[in-house]
Amino acid sequence: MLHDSGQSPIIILAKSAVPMGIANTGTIATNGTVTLGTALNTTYSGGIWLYFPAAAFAASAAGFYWTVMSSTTAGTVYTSQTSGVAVTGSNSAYTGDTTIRTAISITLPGGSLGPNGSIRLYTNISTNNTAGAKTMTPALGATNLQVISSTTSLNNSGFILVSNRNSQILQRSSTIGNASFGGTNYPAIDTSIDQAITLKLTLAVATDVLVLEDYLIELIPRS
Amino acid sequence: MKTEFKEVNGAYNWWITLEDGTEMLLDDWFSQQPVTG
Repeated sequence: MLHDSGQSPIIILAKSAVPMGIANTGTIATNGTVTLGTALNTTYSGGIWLYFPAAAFAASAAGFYWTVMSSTTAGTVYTSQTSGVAVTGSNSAYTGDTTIRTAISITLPGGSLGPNGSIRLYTNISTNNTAGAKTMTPALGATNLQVISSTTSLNNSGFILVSNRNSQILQRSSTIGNASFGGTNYPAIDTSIDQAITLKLTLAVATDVLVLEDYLIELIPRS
Repeated sequence: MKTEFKEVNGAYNWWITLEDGTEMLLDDWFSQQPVTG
């Protein structure tokens, strides 16, 4: 078959504009007020999931915490999205996490793509203007796809089309978008079994800014 | 495999349940995979 045409359902696997970011180096007061060392690009007054390192506040585990910001640097860290209960801080400084962290994970059910199906991923990250790298790494299974890595650009979008090539285990991954791209252009991922589609965030410098602003992941199955 | 965003010890992270029922942090699972891409 030279080309494909005709109707096909487009299934939204996942979409969200609830922001998720890596908390840059800062301090959390005993009343749960966080003061980030570097301003975010906007005031997330509606809330944002921020990743804090272990012991960022009293005996805390590393992970994402729901934070409602009152400015671009200050906000309240809560025990959950709905508890209304602030965490207890230590008044000591923590260092922002610089390890790759999974922000989003969606299951691509085995066989759902089909031998000629496609996945479309649109993502946007906001960052600050510094020499440090801020990276969003999408992955299918254990294979990283093209990466969005920004330094001085504040707003970075990426669009990736991953298509099975008349096979459930051979793909082409194509991109349009800004910043630099690494990753795999010719993945070989077994889509006949369940695979996770993940979006991962990495700050190279603990004082920088990285927020996953929104994303849309679509499935276009094709036999 | 199944992944889930859930609270453990007060922090929210992505967890993966493997075929044999083992549960672990998804980030730890990634670090154990061969590097591709």
